[in-house]
Amino acid sequence: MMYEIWLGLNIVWELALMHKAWVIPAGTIMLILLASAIVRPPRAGRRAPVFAAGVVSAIAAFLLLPGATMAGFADLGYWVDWLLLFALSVAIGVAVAISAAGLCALIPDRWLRQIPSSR
Amino acid sequence: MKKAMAHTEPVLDAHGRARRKLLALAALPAATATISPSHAVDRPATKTSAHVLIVGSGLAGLSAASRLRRLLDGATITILDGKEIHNYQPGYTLVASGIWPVEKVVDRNADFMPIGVEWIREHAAEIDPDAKLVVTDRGRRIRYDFLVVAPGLHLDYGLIEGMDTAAIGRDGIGSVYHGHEGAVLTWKAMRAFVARGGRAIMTLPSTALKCAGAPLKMAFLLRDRLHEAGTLGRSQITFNSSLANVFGVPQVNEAVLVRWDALGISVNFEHGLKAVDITRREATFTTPLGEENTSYDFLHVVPPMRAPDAVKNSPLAWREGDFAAGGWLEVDERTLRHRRFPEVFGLGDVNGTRRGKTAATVKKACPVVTRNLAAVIAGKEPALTFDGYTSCPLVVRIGAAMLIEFDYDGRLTPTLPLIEPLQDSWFAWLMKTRLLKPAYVAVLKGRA
Ligand SMILES: Cc1cc2nc3c(=O)[nH]c(=O)nc-3n(C[C@H](O)[C@H](O)[C@H](O)COP(=O)(O)OP(=O)(O)OC[C@H]3O[C@@H](n4cnc5c(N)ncnc54)[C@H](O)[C@@H]3O)c2cc1C
Repeated sequence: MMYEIWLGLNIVWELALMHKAWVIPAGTIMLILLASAIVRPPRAGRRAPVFAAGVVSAIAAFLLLPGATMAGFADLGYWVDWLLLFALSVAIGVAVAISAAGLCALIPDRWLRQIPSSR
Repeated sequence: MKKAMAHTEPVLDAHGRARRKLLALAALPAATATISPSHAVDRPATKTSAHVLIVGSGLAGLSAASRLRRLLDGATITILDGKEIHNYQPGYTLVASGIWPVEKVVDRNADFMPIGVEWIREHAAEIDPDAKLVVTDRGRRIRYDFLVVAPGLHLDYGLIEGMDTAAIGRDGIGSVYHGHEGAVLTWKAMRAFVARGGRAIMTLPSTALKCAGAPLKMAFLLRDRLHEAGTLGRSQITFNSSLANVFGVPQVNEAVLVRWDALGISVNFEHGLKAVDITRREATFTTPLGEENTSYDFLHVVPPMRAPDAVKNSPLAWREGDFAAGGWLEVDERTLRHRRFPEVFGLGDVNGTRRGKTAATVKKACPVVTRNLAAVIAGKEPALTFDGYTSCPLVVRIGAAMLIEFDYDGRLTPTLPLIEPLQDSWFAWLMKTRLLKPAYVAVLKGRA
């Protein structure tokens, strides 16, 4: 099993190298947003839009991921497929929620006050 | 590098040397950052001044070179291969069915050449294991102390009368095996056929094959493309196998035949492609009842395969038994050490073993070969054994595949025990289309 974990890490590393043109900028932005979300976690009033962004993204990912990989829901004939799709969608939702939280922390309060749900 | 020059003539020009230095500097952070389980096992390095020659810089040659660099301290390692382009061959089926662009399967060998390894851009023409000597196609004589034979295999299109590889892509001829250009041209011929529909004949020779699943994948994908184009109703796909099966592992063979039956792909056994009349679009098959001529609109040619001449014509080839006709390398199937020349090891498609002509085989066999070789250099006996691991994600339609893994005895050996090998899944499709190329590159770099 150790070997499979090692192989998995190598796959992630090589994938990142292959797509470094967008992985590096996107990763840097994600890290900045993550840091800002940790330093200034969203206050109670701002949690709803952050959560909503995460949920909407997860649902969108769930619906779009098979098509984005040239497959359709009819191709998901095995429980492993559904588990994988669910896990990937949740991961995307969490990433978007963290980014949204980080973004919220960076946006000045007076801007956010103009959004009704964040009051 | 100096020691290598004692064996061979200089091959790197000033520009090449400067580039190597730059690469060495660029690779430093990565090299220090990657501490892997295999590194841990690879150490401590064996101190040696031996000259190790590797014939072939495909997946097998490059991954062996990368690992030997780490395992052998002070050795001179030379790779011999005249090919500059590195092809990700497992992607050919995806290119040949219009799923991937060709760029995904074409890289430069130079980008993967390990630092400190000398690369001679020539082919081996003769191997004389008694004299521990390899003569190249340009007449250069290279002496070695240890030899890793990894030149892949030879596609013997010449054994099919009338077959002209220049015709691939036109006149209804496709052949996924004929390099990356062949894959592109196969898609061209297949697309033209799919638009109109008609009679498709898919072939399978009786020799050992690299990725024996590839001809099956092509049949599945052709059927899927016809269905997608709406021309399936006026088409007929026939799979002509030279053998009494379509795949050597009985359970997989059975599963494929059941699927084909449901999909309307008919199968003829013991139908070997003997000749093709390209202009008349007619193929001749040898059958137990004599010769049979069949007209076609699309013919997928899978050529007979054998060891490259340099191995086949050398004392390294099997002299008797099942592997003698193809001139395959006579290795012990467990240690992958030559059975008669103890300083020679074999890796990859060239090996005359019961199974194992896939990239996945190289992934599992390379650590066995390199560590066994290091043991032999250190004066010990090879300790590691290989179980014949072979794997083939069998694409059954666009969007789904079966993840088939097996060993020498044809036993299914799934890496992830929860995953049923004969169940088609999107998961296996994602592995095939998204994850296996990065895994391949990690193997190429000797890390996985
Ligand atoms: C259509 C297709 C689909 C495939 N699908 C899969 C798959 O899904 N999964 C999988 O695991 N595997 C798959 N494979 C198989 C896999 O690509 C091969 O098993 C693997 O590349 C073997 O590596 P190798 O280094 O032995 O040979 P190769 O990669 O072919 O490399 C051999 C090298 O040796 C060189 N050479 C040849 N003759 C000489 C000589 N005389 N002197 C010096 N050098 C020489 C060549 O130039 C070449 O660079 C597929 C292959 C094909 C063609």
